[in-house]
Amino acid sequence: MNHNAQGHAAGFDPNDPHHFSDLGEHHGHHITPTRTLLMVLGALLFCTALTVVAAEVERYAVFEMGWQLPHWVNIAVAMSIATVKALLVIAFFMALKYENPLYTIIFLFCIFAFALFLGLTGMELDNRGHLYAWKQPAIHPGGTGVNMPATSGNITVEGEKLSMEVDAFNNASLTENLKKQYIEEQHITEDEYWERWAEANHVHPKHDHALSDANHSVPRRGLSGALDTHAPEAPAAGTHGSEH
Amino acid sequence: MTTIDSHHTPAKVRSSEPGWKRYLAASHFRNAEDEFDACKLGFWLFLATEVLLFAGLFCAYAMFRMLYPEAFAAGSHHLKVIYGGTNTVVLLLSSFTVAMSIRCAQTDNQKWLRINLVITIICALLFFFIKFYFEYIPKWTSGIRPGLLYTNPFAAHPQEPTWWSVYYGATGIHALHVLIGASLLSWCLYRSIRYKAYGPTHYTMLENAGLYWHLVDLIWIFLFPLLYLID
Repeated sequence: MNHNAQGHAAGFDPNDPHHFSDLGEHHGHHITPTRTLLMVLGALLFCTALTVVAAEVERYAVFEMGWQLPHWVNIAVAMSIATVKALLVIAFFMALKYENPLYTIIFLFCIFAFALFLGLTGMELDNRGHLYAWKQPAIHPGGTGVNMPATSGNITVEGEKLSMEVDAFNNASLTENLKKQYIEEQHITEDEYWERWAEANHVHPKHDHALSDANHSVPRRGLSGALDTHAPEAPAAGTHGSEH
Repeated sequence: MTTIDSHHTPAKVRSSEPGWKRYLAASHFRNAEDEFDACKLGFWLFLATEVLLFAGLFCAYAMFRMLYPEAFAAGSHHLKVIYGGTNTVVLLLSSFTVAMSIRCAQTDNQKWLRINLVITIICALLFFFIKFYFEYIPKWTSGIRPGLLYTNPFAAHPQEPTWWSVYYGATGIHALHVLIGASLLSWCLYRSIRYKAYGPTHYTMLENAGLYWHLVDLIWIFLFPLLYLID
């Protein structure tokens, strides 16, 4: 075959030198009408307003009317609306509705992987104590919310020195130490501290830092206790102290 | 034996021709259409890795929320819905203008292509202004910082620093993506002004930068309720 001759004969297109487009493989790109895009934008803005209003209603029901909503209501409403918004963006703005289904499969794979991350990690964390009852005392609480060693100086994180001055933690959490420090520095009483605390946390005296039931920790075997200061019976700090 | 373009590399076309008409697909593609499809498939694979990056952050959020719901409720109370909501509207609007600018490229409407890109970039700057001026800077200066950097004496829960780690981590990486997306779109705007680079037969870069921008919007659509609304 002489492509050159053919190309010149039919009017040469440098972007399609072999005239593959004549084979009828291409249907051209989809051009989304302005009207559709505007309607999607309107729907997205409406959903944003809806999710904010729903959250405010939920807040009002819990704090002003004293309803105790099940813990999943707020999350389920907010996440459902977010999912609708995400689908609108994906389908119309990213034009996945009109595109090669291969891209949709790639996206679905992501969602599958995400479900795997969430599901497996969640199951593991939630059931550690059940599966490994014998391991329970060996699971260390972590982070800054638990009792820190009484030594002063630099904290080492994974063997590397954190260039941060950390005074003696006095076997209390980071936040507890910050509170003590503040009271000492300001020469105030504990009551005065709590007044300032309420102001800083925008806590209305009427609410008295009340939380809806949804936001209370559930005791978890193998994890709670030392991690959760609100748990009814937190094990004494001494039980883990020897292992630090 | 033939090679695709060895005999056909055209002589330099008049530079008054718009860039999208002068564009030649790389020689290893059958035609420009195939090149567009290949670029786009590659970009969707990249977007998949981006989704997985944020999936890790969402997973951290879910697990820490499961362990310390009180700390998350207390931390969320510090965030003003008005700022998060405004930023949501800003990003949704910018997503719309990006979609419109791609439509303008497809219909060879060079003027409105640029106007839409300019609006998008202004939205990105507005997002940054709200994020830093009303949120990051006041919080950071009052000691509300992630993890061990936390120095605010009024924590409502011993694990509040953990919540702030998740907050700064997720919104910080998202803000980095806003910066990258806005930079890509600024580059598109420059090429559009300089070369009229995008038109009906060639707008690959604009399409992919737009997809990236939509992904940034998509992530925020989930971050907003998770951080600001659920408590």
